[in-house]
Amino acid sequence: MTKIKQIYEKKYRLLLWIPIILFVLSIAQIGYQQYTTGSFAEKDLSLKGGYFVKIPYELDQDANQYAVDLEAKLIEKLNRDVEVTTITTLGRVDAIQIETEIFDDVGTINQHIVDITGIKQEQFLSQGIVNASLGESFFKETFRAIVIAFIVMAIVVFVYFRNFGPSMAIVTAALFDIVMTMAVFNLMGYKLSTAAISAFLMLIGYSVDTDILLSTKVLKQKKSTDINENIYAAMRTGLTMTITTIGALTVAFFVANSFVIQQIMTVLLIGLTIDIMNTWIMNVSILRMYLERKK
Amino acid sequence: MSKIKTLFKSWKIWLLIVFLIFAIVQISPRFNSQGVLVLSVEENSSAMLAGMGNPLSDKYSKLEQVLEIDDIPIIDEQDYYAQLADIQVDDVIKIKTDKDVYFLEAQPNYIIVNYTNVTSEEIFEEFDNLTNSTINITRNITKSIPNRELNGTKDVGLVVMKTPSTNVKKGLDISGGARLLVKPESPVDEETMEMIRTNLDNRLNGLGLKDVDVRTVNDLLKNQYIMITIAGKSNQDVLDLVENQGKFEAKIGDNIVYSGDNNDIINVCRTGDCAYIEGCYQTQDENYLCRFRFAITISDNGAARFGELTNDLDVVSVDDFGNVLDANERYLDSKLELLLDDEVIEALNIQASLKGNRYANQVSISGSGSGKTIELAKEDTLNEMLKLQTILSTGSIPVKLEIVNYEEVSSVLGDEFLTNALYVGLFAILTVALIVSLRYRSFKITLPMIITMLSELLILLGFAVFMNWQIDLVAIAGIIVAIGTGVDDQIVITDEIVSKEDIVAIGWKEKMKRAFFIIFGSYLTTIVAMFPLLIAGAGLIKGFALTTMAGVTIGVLITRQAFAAMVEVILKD
Repeated sequence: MTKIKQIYEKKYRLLLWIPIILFVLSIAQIGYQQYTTGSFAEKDLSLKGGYFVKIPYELDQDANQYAVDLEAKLIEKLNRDVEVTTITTLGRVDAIQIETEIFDDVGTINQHIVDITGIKQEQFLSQGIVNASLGESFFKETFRAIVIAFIVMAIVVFVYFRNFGPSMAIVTAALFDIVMTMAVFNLMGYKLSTAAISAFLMLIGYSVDTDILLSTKVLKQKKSTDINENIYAAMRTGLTMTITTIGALTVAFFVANSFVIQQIMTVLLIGLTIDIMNTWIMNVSILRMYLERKK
Repeated sequence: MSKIKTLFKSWKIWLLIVFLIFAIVQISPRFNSQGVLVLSVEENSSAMLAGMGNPLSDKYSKLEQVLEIDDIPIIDEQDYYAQLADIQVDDVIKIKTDKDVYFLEAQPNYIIVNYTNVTSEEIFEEFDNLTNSTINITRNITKSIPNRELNGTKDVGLVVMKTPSTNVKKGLDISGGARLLVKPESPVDEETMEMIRTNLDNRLNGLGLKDVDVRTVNDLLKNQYIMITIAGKSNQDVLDLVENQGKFEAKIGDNIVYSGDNNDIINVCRTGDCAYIEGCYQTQDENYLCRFRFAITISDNGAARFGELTNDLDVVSVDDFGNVLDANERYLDSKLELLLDDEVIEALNIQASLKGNRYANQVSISGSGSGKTIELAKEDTLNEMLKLQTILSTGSIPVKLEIVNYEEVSSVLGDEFLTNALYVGLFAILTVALIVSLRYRSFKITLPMIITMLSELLILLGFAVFMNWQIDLVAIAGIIVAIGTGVDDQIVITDEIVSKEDIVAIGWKEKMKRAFFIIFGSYLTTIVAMFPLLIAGAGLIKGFALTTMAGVTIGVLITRQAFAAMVEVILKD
């Protein structure tokens, strides 16, 4: 323990390389995704466009097998690409989602679903059409929104602290959070949705909280001169904050039966976990270097 | 005891109490929600004539509540409809609402049962090209006079819903219903957009859908959309109605005889003898097909143009097989083509006797529907007829509309979502309480935290009601996130207070100042980050941004201040 403490307190220049390397790897992941698929993240129906139907699932048989069979039957009948996925609430599959990118003849699609599953159209839980153009313009505008939000957030931080080094540390931590979260999100095989994008925007706001706490505690402490004591005090508070939030989000993720809520929770969970490293290793290291130079 | 007294000396606590009262008044939970709320009142209906007016706002608290009909208490919608089912003509219905008592006179409902054809000779002045003079021509004019018969009473004209247990408005994905987002294919000015909006509103009402909301929205890229929200179940017909431009034209050759844009359609027959199913038959693939037919009345101008254009046509007196036709079987050599959105829906032979007739102002339009059984086929046919009638009577939309988003959620799923969201909130709060209890091991800190969290939730919901926001799933996610940020800030405050640092050296004020410096910094960054979401994506996920922003604002200005005051008093010796 004391060994770790020693490394943490003395070898911070070396530690700084961990987030930097991970950041570079994340950029590489996103770049690779962009290069191979033409988009930095795989988009789901809400961004790509298509038609979906959600039907209740109350059978006793293996839901995954059922989904695979249903998918095969629908592809055969409709002669087009269809994707069937299961929706889990509290560990139990209670609904099945059917998606297809083309929606020219919704009536026929519905009829086939009714014929194969025996579930009447009135019993469909939900259905919807997203036009590809809406998805695309939403993607474009929210991407722009994320950039704008980030810049304005950075301005707010700079004006608030009026101190280049620490402000830069906060902004860099937020940038690292978002980029790394995106990469992990991709690696876990998730698809980007409108809800997930709104969670990324929220992450901009959420991720800087602990950084602001850290900087304030270290820079505005009047009596205490020991920087380590200030960092540990900030860390106690910051980790409690992050752990309560992660706790609440995890519970929300498992209890929620809504895909929208689950997606938002997923992005925030990944982001906050990554933020622990970016705040307490990266931001701390930069702050130490800043204070060292000031001396 | 003295501590509680000190607590109530703080204005911060009083501010919290004032806002909590405000929130409860706004939400106004009703433990026995009785009656039905009046969502709208139809023009010229008996309800409107009796003095009931359309609500000025669609906030639940501003809606009139029907409590009794004919002195019998109304619990829900079923009661309401049951009570009005057996109304006879000239009955006076007594409706007691939370505001007033109204006496409605049931209005008779007439339907057209048949027509009497009246033929009369009339003299017309017409210009004769041969003699270059005005001459009088006598023509036989046949007019169809509708015969009406009493058929029950008209609906009193109220659109109602069961009084909800709170004033919190549920969004589409919780209450169930359908939402459509449509976009004109090419940009149009605001005036046209408003015209399209009104037209769609009329069409959907014409289809008999109740509680339809049609509004225009824009997004960050300045795209224009129209958002249609329909409570309850929608159907494929809605999509058809929206996608059809409804451009109606009648042509003889290349000449336009009538067109919807010239207001040539003055009436579309909807019931009785001039709108009916002609007959059904079984098709080769064992389905059934029925044909419908209904009449439309053409303006005098349109009828006159028909006369002019048919004057130049030749009469066909020999059919394709060389047989000479009887006088009443003869027709003109061009057909009258009826087009809807540039597609021919009907090509009618024109009787020879109509040649030059400037007064033929009834045209019949037909179409078909199909189904697996004869009943289903009839139902489909009536549906198709209703759609066409609605499109023809509401006129055309100047630009083609594209459906960019359509979502339909069953109310079953909505209920599940709501119950689930309550569980999510409850478990999230319990988890947070557990973690902070473990960290601080003091009831004195955990309790104020939980009180603050619940107050935040309550005030946020109250504010949502006040602003007339709908709470949908993304809004719930926003609430969870906002309360999560709230907890973070409370931890910052607590740690500042309980830190071992010398209180004498720094002082409470200074500690609080520093805590609120951190809190305000993270508040500002959250607000700016959420801002773009307010208008992005045509506002489909606006709920998330709205609740998050409102939640953190309420937190910073009200609840966190109160929390600081509470903890200060409790922990200070």
